Amino acid sequence: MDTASLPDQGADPLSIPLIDVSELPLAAINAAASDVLARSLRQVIASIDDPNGVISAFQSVVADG
Amino acid sequence: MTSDTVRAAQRAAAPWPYATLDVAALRAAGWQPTALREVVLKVHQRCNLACDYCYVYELADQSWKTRPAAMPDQVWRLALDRLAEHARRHELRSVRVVLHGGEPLLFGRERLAELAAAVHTTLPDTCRADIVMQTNGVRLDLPTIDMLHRHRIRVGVSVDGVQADHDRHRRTRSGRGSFAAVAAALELLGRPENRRVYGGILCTVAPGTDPIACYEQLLKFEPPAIDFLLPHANWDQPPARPGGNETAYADWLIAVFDHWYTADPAPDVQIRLFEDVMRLVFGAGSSSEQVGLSPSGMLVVESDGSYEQVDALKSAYEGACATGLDVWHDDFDAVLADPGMIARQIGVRALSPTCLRCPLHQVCGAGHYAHRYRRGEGFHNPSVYCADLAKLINHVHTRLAADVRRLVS
Repeated sequence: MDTASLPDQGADPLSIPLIDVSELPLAAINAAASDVLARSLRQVIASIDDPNGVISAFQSVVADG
Repeated sequence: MTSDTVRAAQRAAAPWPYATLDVAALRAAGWQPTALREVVLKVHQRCNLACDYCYVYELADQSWKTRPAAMPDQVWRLALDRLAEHARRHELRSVRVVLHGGEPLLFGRERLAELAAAVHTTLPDTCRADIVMQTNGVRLDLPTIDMLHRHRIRVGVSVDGVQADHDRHRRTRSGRGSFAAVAAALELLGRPENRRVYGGILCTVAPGTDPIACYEQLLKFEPPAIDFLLPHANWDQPPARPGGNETAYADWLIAVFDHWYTADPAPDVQIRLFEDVMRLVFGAGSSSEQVGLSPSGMLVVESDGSYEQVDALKSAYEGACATGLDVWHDDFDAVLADPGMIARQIGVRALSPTCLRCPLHQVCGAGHYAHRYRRGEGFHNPSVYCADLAKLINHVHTRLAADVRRLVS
């Protein structure tokens, strides 16, 4: 797999078109390793593999360990 | 109060969800609760500061007055037993324990150490425990930081920007500002040998202050993460809007976002609210309460053992957090049947018709649940920060869409 895949949520006519990054090569993400955007895209990829799913957490700010 | 008494009071104050959310229909449609993965232990009810916006002491709910100042050992031990039981039942691989208050460092260094050690010994081997503490930083000294290292506790500190802005709100009871003490603590946390326990900085947005000066001040403390928190408000008690600016909070946040996003080299600091919005516009989930539709997975245990919902709800009305359940009689699963908890787990099904008609609803998620409250109706409303959230989300979306197009091409 060399691209990031995301569920298609853009089908809902009442939603803004979510930004489709499914065609974005991972190499392009990794090449921009220090970029804020690249960090966000890597978080998106990591969330796909989260076995427990994402929960909304308490508002105590602590970076992910 | 019994759970029946609590529910009756909740139905009167917040008809939605307590009277009109059809839980039976949700269940019939196949909805299942999400297991709790985060427990907030209010280890100490009192605070050594008297911040003027504090939702615990300065807003509607004054229940702290009737509770033990410090959480008795028996309460936190039972809470950890309940958490371990929940982790086993739901086969959780990780949980987070948040040490909170009031000011958690008033609980005492040795008692915190004892509690933290018990977290690791009580949970099943298959479940990783992450322990964090949210403090005002005033009592954070080297012996305390040594204890944090020994027990693998990461700490988040509350700072509201430059000294003048911070000291305007975050004062001691005698009226003195707390910035100098907090800055000294953050200098200790920023040392290379202490970064392992440095969680980040929590900052409340204050329109009317200079957003860039605030952000630059926070960066000087070299935090691994920053979160910007909208002040707790609702439709009955709307937020202050200096100069009548209807999007003052968005304008403040957008200034910081652009500064952070375009910096070269990119700053090595996560900003939780912005990263959540970014992930959401890419179709992923949000990890915080401020935006998105991810289910809430947290529970608060008060110092008397009561189970409560997120304590930001204290800003809405007296008793808004109450479940009528407690650590003495009820397991964590019992809380998952509370309509207030359910409302915060059902995502899009908790949104008002107004929100559902808005094209931004999957990203915004009606904002923080506490900010939707209106007396006589409850929480089935847009956020009182609706215009701010829309402006911020549209700004981030436009910026990212252009940049992703460039990356693809």
